[in-house]
Amino acid sequence: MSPILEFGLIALGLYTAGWISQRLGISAIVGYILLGIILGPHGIYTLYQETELIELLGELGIVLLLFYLGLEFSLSRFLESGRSTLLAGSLDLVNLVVGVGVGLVLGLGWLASLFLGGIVYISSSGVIAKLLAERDLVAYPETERTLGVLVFEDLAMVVILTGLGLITLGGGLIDALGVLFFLLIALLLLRFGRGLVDRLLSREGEAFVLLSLALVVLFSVLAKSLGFPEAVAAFLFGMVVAESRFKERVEQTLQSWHSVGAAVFFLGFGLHVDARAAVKQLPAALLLVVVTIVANMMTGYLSGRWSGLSRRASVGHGLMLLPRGEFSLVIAGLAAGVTSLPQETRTALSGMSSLYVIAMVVIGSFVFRYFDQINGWLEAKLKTPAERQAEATRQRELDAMRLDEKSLR
Amino acid sequence: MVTNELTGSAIEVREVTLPGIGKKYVMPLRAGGNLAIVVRPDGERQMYHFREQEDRPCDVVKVDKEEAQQVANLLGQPLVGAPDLERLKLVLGGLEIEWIELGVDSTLIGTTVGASALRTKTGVSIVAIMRGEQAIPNPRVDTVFEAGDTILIIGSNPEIEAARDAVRSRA
Repeated sequence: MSPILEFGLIALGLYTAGWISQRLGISAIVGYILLGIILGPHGIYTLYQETELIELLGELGIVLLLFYLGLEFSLSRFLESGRSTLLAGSLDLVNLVVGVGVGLVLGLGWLASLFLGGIVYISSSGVIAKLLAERDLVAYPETERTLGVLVFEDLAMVVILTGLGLITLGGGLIDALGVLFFLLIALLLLRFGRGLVDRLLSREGEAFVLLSLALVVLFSVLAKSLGFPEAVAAFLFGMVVAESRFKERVEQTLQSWHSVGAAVFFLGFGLHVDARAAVKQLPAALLLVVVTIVANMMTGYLSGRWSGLSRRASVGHGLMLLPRGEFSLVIAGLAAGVTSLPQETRTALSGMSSLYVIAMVVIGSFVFRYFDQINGWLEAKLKTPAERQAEATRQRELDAMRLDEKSLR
Repeated sequence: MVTNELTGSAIEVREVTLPGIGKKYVMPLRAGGNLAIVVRPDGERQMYHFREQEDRPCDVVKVDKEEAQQVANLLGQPLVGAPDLERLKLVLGGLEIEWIELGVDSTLIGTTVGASALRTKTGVSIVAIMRGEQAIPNPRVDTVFEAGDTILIIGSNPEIEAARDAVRSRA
């Protein structure tokens, strides 16, 4: 197949998968992964292979996903976010620990379990923001808290990605020097890069697109060649550009590259999932789903209650944080490329994480669709016996009154 | 917490940034409950009504940018902080009244109304100068412009545009 035909088929396939997902009312991410699984090398019919084109676009997708996250991330806003958000974010880290724990129980070993912890921990800010807006939940009091926790998670993920990247990429003195060198460049850029970006990017039309793409990509590649995770470098570069006056323009101009790259990344992730092997991971994925829901609801509820949200809003806070998505896959994708992990572990990890993410996206969409009902039902379950009794008494009194009225008539 | 700077209203409005979604403004209502207004980056505004003691809205009204402007007009007050409404504009049968704030580096600073020859050059008349709390209606020719002044001018659209260019900074 010629690369150009392949590209056309990728675009068409992703479009179709996205269209079907939308019809079913679930996030397109699910459609993209399934497309990769079904029409990949292990699937029913091999339309897509792990070619250089898919690898290239997928890598661009990761870089741009993290770059956009960095564009939206504001350190000052994070520092101003207040004690209750910081508390909620810290409590939320329990989910990370729980994820690592499950990995160890499943016998994945320390390194793979750390990856699994990251996969389980990180909620999908993209999926959640979209669902919040679609379902008119943006004005709920717990929405503020949820979005605050997501910003916290973003930062935590960058730390996790850096740690995991450094563990897996190298070791050795020369690598350490390279990383230090890169960090120095990054720090200088964060401090003084604003003016530089302002001057470099004052171009029009295609010159602007080309130069901003070149800068983002080459900065990430530079990091990678120095032994620093490229995704994190893209995030840092996003933070630099966010300070410049071209933030919105860069955001608009690279949007289509971002969407295409991310979609191909999800497809590419599906390609190396063997459905038959993944089915064997079904119990593990199920365990992960149950553990996530329980841990996530508990931490969400507790942090909500501690910071003065009502019982209803605290339950809602837990529910809102459920969806997992793109960033779980970014971490899973990173794990799939770690050669120091045994092949068996890697297959198991990508199998269970693909099932897990698909399940959590679907569950998340479901929870948001019936948010008020599920919220109300869970809240009722949390009522103490005394409260339930009081309510029942009130109901009986009301019924009695109605009966009286009837008999009077 | 922010108060309404334009009207000096005593009603406190809580402003919250919702990352990835926009800004939320919550205003307590005297009759009980809250009004929450969410401004999306694309200009859409959503108005949520919360009844007293309720933390879930009982109703929502969503309007796009243009509709929001119309709602604001109906409510009798221009949208505060709307980026497209930095200039308050009144159109009166071809005539416009415009407020222009003089920056520190405006060419007018230090000159008198007469010496600026704004009317001869551009055609607009200066109706008043707003200086801090003070308003100088119908300023005399020897009134000197100061940095931070806001001049209230009247004229046709091209004249207003010409005046805008004329008072711009030297750079």
